[in-house]
Amino acid sequence: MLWTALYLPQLPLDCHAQTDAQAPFAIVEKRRIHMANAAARAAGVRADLPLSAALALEPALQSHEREPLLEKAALEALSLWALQYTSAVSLAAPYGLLLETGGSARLFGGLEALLQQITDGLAAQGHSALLASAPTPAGALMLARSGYAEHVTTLPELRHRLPVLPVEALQSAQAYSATFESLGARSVADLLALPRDGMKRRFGDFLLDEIDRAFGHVPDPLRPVTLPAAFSTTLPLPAPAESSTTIIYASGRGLRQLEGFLRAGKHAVDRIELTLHHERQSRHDSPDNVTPLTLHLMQPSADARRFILLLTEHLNRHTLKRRVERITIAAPQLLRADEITHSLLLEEEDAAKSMRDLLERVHARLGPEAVRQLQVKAEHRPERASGDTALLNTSHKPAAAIKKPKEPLPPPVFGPRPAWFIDPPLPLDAIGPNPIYEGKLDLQEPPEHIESGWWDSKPIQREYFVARTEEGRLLWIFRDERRENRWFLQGYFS
Amino acid sequence: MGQALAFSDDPEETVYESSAGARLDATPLDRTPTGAASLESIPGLWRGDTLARVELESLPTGYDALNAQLPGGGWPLGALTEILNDRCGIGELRLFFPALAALSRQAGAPPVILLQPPYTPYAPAFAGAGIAPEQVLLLRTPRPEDALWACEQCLKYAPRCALFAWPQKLKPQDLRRLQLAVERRPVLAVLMREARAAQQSSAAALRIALKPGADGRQLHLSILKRRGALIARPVIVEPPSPLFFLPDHHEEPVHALDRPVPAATAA
Repeated sequence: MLWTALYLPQLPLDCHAQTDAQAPFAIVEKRRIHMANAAARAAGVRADLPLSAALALEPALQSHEREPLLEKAALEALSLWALQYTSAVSLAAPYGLLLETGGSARLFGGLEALLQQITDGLAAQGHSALLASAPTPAGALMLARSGYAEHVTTLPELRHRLPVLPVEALQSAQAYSATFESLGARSVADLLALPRDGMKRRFGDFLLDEIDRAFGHVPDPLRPVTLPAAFSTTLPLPAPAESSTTIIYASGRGLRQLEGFLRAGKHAVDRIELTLHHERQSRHDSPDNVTPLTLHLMQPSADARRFILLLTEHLNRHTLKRRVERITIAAPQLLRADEITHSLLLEEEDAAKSMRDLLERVHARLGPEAVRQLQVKAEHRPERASGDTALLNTSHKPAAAIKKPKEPLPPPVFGPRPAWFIDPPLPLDAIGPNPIYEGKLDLQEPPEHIESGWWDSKPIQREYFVARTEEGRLLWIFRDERRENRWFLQGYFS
Repeated sequence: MGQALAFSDDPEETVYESSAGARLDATPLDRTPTGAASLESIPGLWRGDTLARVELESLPTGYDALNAQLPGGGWPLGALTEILNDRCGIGELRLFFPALAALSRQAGAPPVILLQPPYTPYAPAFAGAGIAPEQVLLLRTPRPEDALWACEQCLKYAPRCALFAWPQKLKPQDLRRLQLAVERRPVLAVLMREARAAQQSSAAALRIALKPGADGRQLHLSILKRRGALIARPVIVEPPSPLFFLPDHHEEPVHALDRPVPAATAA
């Protein structure tokens, strides 16, 4: 068994879907700052500062009263999302989640790849977490809580590792920090040095029990999270918003949770219900001032990108009459993925699998270098602007490598480029100053001047032209100013 | 294919997603209303001048004139397409760029596989055409006889993808084998062959010979074979071109004498 602890120390802050990380934002408890984001901290806003003092430091500070229920809901939502990575997920309140990753790591291409997916998934939802793994759940939590992003796989190693952690690593130590300080106990090893029965009398069973569970001396039964029959989540916005960008961003978070939830239970949906809760403008407004919005999918899906695309399309055509302060996302009816014929969910998985199988066969027969993936390189010299890498080396999972870039492709920065490239370039004949290729060539003016690489051994200084042959073929040719203005053929605009 | 959307202004607002890959029904060629009405009323009668109503998936070519001439309204999926051409650089690949760019925007990013291309594919050209370079896979076989095997494997087992192959020698039985492999697969399979292959019989569903327009922009497509009646006239398309400023070959300079004479004003 290997347990991975997800420790989310910033949960009170992160459970508010913030669009703009640059905007100073803080959570307030009893008129004092409880937690501030990076932008607020940069302005000098610290925990425990009275709100009035914080506002004096940063007048633009947005603040929100701490809502423990909201934090709990966010943690629960994350636990459902995490079920897509393993079937054993447990809550470790207040800020932790435990995932049994030893069994499922193989399915995701190894522990490292799995942890990367989890980290990326959390980041996409706006959560920052510390991940640590250990053979015991309590041990993993201790590592994560003390800020060690370590992945200890054996019990002896863990037992060696735990004593050096500070006492704060223990959840049950939080209440006794003053006592520990007076005892001079700073590390877990200091606690272990104390007599057990004395500790038991003084701190009750909990502390010793937590230590024993962490070290693997006693079993640690966890209550696993189970999938509820339907999905519903509420996303509060840090400040009422009317821009569709903010609403899409915040909803995206909920829709990603929905994706995790669906994938965990091998479900899909063809209908999602979003409710935009509007701000109350006066006391007389009814509290349920909402805009219901239903997303219909032609094919059942579990793909958050499709949900977000659909929502974006809709909201972009719409102006909101009122500002939104909360969004609820619900999937009232779940469809079983195995009952859906030709669902996109299965199709995508099938596609990835059949591609993987195909590549495996091709590589097995033709060698690991046979399939290569094109790459644009940031270089002005045409010879170095393109490359290809063996698909087998770019990623452990070949099919995953054929991913669409997240951003749309940038427009070509330079002039036209040919699909077929000739390297080294072929010298062309010329009559006087005019290059020849199967007869006279028409050159497109103005040429593209490429001069680069003066800093290394292969400088170039060339005038590139698109040239048309008498037959209508299009060539990419250049006049080499470093080689007596001779002409060369560099490619075909096939 | 973009995901077209529509929504109503109901109080409960509703968004519908179009189904991706909706089938395009084949369009009749020239449906002349005269005299044909009586024939159309006979059920089950197939008229020779219509394109085969094949239940084929296709990839729109990006050229309306060409879509109109292809059964399924685009490049056929699940069948071989042969492009016959000897002149490299007339736009034989650019011809497919609009369709490939559309493919690149599709969910799941289907790969574009180039099997034994004659030259090195240049990544910036694909990126510039809106085809993600990561999606373009280059497949080279050290021994030429492996190329056919690799081609068949891709046609048979690749998921939704576009395959372009430059086979060296193809016997009619090889073509039959490849056509069999690709049947009913969601794969665009293009064989780039030399022009004289037109003499040879072929199992390909679509055979097109290319001829460049003299201006370097146009491409004349002679459809030698398609599922449906033959057409004599070439289809003229204009693939994305690197030419922006080069004037046409045949554009004659306009001489002052050729200009219309301004009407004489009464003095």
